Parts: sequence; structure tokens; C-alpha cells
Amino acid sequence: MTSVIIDCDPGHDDALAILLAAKHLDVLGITTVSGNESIDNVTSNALKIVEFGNLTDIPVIRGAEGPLFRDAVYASHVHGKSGMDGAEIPEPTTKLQEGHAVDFIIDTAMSTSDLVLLPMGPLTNIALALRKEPKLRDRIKLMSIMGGSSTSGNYTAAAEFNIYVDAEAADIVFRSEIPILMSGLNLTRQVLAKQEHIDEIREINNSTAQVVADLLTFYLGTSTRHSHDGAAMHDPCAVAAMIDPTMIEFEPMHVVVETTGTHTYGMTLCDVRPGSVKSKPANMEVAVTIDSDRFFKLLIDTLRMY
Amino acid sequence: MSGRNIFLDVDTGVDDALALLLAARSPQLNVKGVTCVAGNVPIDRVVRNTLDILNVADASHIPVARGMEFPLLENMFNATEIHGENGLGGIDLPASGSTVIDKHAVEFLAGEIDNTSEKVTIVALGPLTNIATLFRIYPNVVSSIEQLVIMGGAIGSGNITSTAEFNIRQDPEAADVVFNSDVPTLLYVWDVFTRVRFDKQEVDEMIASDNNCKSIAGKLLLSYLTTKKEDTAGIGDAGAVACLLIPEAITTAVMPISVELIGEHTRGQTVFDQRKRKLSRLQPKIQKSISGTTEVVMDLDVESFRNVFVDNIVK
Repeated sequence: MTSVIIDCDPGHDDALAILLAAKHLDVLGITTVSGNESIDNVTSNALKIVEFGNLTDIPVIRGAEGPLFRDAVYASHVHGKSGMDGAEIPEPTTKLQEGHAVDFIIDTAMSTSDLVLLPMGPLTNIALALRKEPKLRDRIKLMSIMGGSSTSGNYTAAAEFNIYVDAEAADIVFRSEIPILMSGLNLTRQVLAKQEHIDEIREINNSTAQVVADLLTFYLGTSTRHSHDGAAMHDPCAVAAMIDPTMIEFEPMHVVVETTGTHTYGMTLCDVRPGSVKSKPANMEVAVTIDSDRFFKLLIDTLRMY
Repeated sequence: MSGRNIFLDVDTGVDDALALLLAARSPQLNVKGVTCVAGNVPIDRVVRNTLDILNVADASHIPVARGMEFPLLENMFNATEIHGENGLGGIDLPASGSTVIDKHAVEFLAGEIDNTSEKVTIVALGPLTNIATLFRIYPNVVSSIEQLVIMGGAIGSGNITSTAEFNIRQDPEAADVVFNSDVPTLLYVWDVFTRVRFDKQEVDEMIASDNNCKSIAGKLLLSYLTTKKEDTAGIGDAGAVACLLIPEAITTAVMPISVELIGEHTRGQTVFDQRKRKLSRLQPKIQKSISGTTEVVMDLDVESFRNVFVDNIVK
């Protein structure tokens, strides 16, 4: 089984991603980063997830309080004030593992071969780790990232939330030369959870699935209010890419992060010009299409295992 | 003269030449003037090419005015690898006996717009330097423009950079001025620009035609086949003119647009806000101020565009 660290900011879709990963990958730890909500809220949510998923063997480690340089922005209009509204979940009693997420990532990478990172929030922790330990570049096998877009944005017209929150961090990560799989909005918009999926999850006879159904109901509500056709399964796509790579089609592209634009700050520029001599060589694999039916089958079958 | 009164602003340019042939020959259009802007090639080359191609179209009576030599801020870069050193794909046209008028392009347009009680249509096929300068010096003309048809920008991939299209990238500040002017605009973006194409056989047939315009058009398209090393050649800017002839053959969407001026990688990008919004509950005036006045050509009927080009250049 592939050894992974999940770096996240739960987040409804982060919750689903964690539950999906835990049954198919060797999750060595969950690190949190300020993103969808404050570091306190997302860290509390991460602990809630390992509790309602009965995954308390997996250590949770608290990470960066905010972006490298800019002020934090949150997405409570999508995820609610707690960052994971919609379900009655008791305050967690599980303790955090001591230390900072950045050091956990470094220590684990230096002592684990073929480590894969699954970053699904702003890339602040990853960037800090890369800067703090230059040898990290050679120790990480792959990063399957949820972030960016090869088409249009969500938090702004041009930028996807995770990259927008900390474009400087994203720029550091994208230039690190570590192999990257990028699952951006152009992909994740193809995987929309709807009422029929929630109904199917509601039928599953375990408490974890019931919590998921509640959370998804809230998330579908805010998505619909923002004129979306369903609740996009952003973060789980990055996990699905590691569990079943045949489910997703990737294209090699040259991608850079814009860090100085007025209207384009946080944009991932994916050069899709056909065979142009001006294009630079590809530096990552960008996900372009996904089999949505297969994805939901995997997700729902996995929830049955809880 | 019957037909819709239009002004063309060009940086001739192989496909600008195609657009000029189409506009000058179409009975539906009455070209009242052509203004030149530096872009594909330097200004004096643009002027020469424009005069010469209008001569081919028997349209030397149309006034041609010389405009801005440089973009508002940066030094110019040109596109000779696409349009050839002379800007017409290496094709030599017989020299027109006409010359440019005395007035600067901006003065000419201001005067013409002021002179008429009807509203005018301007078709801008190069960098927007002339148009922006016009709007800045003579802001009153804005209310007299019925429609501004622009070839520029890109929703998806760019051409000169991965996200920017050539005309906008050549002068982003000018584009910013124009898009902030609230003039009703039809934007013929790079995404549709490349779609109206002819293959080598069709191009050879055009060249072999008895009709001089059609034959020259064929030669211009042939130059594209050679320099771009593709199997088909597109009519480019001429498609923007065609939008005026067959508006029923295009699909458009109104989208807020911003021009990125300072991005390290994104200078010159047209940023479109494609996110869905429920605006129907707002008053129309407020809806409009959110959505803007730019109508973007999202799709077109390729066959109709190919036909309207071939049918009109021989008229």
C-alpha cells in the first residue's frame, strides 16, 4: 500500500477524501493548514473526522496558521462557520500529536521511502517544509494535489481557492521539480454529488455514513445556493488518482503560478497551446477527465466499509 | 451608398487584408474609412499594405489614415514569423496610387463620428492603441458608437503567451481603457478566430479564380499554409467582419471582462468571469453594471462563415 501524508483544511470534501484514503492507502498522518477556515477550526475538524471515522490510529498534526505572506481568507460561505457545518459531531477528545506539521512532513519523508503527499488545502505547509529541508525534494516520490485549474477559477474568476489563498507557497511547490499530479477545478467540476448520491449514502448502515450524509446535505445546499449543479468532490479526486489512476486521464503540461497579477493572482497557467515552439517543457501531469460513475462507486463502496 | 456604415482599424496583416477584402466588397457594408495601427508589422508597412489591398478590392476611394506607431507603454513586438517581413505573407501587390489622408487616425475618427447624427460601428482588428487614444482624447465619441467589434482576447489558451492573445498583449493598457468604456462591444476571441478554415485544395481553387479579389485572397491564405505549416488556413480577422454580415450564425454570451496589466506571466490576459450568478432578481441596470457590455462570441457556424467569405469577396 502506498504511504501517504494528507495535508488538509477540513472542509467537507477533505472529510470525504480522508475517509476514502484511509481504506485504500497507508495514511501515516494528517497535517492541517489554515484554509477553508482558521487553523483552530480545521484542526478540530480533522480530529472530529478521525473520531467519527474510527481512524484514531492516524496521528493529526497542526500546521501553519496562515499563508506565507498574505492575510488568510476563508471559505465559510461554502463550508459554514465551523468549516464543516451540517452534522452533530461531539467535540473531539483525541489529542493532537506534538510538534508542527512541517516537521512531521520532513521527519516522515526522511525516514520513509516512496512517500506520497496528498495536499488538499493551501500549500503553505508543503512550501515551508521544502524551504526548511532542501533534501526533501529527493525524498518525496510524488504529490497528488487538489488545486488550481486549467480553465477558470472559483474564489476569483481566474483562481481556484487553495492556490489563491497562498500563491507564493504554490509557486514554491510547483517549481520544486517533485513529480506532481494536479487535480484542478476543470476536473473536479465533473464530479458533482447530488441528492441521489446522498440518498444512497443514507442507506448505508453505519454511523460514519450517516455523518457523511448530513455533511453532504449541508455542502450540497451551499453549492446550490452558489448556482452550482451539485457539490463538487474536489479533494477526493486527488485521492482517487492514487487509488485508481485509470479512473482519471492526465495530460503533461507546463504549469506556472501567477503571484503578481491583479486579476490573475493565484491562477495556475497551464500551457495548452498546440505544439507551439514557445511552450516550455511539461513540468507536471494535469488531470483532464474523470469517470464520474466509477468515482461515486468507489466512494460509496468505501463508505460501506466503515 | 447603401449598407451599414463601418470604420475598420487594422494592422495589415495577412488576415486583416482578408478582412479588408471582405468588408470592401460586401454590399451590406459601407466602409467609410480605414485607420492603421502598428501591430503585426510597423505602422508604415501597415499603411502600405492597407492602401495596396484596398486597391485590389477597387476601393481606393476609401480614406486611409495613419495612426499610432507604438503601444501606449511598451515597445512593440511584431509578428513577422506569421505575416512575413512585409506583413502580407511575402506577397507583392501592385502599388496603389493612393496615399494616406493628412489627418492622424484618431483625429479622423473623432471628426467622422462628430459629423454624423447616426451612430457608427467600428471594427478593430489590431492592438487597441488608436481606439483607446480616441476614447481618452475625445470621450464624447463613446455615446455615438453603436457597436465596437473587436478581434482580441481569449477565454482559454492564448497565442503569443499561454494566456494572452496578440492584440491585447501588444497593448494591454489600451485594451483596459476600451473595455472600461462601456461601449457595446462584440468580442471575436481567439477561441473562435481559428475555426473558419480552408484546405489546400480550396485555396488552390481560389488562386485559380478569374476574380482578382478571390485570387489574392487565395494567395494570402496560401502564405499561412506555408508559414504555419498546417493543412488548413484560417480567415482570422475576416471572421470578425463576417459577424456583421451573418449575426444569426454566432452564439454569444455577456461576461464581465478585465485585462491583466501587471501579472508576471499573465500581462495581456483577458480575464473573463465565467462563474454563474443569479442576477435575474436584480434591476436590469444593476444586472448590466455587473455583467458589463461585452458580448463574447462563444461559437459560430463554420460553414456559414466560410460561405459568406467566399460569396462576398467576389461581389
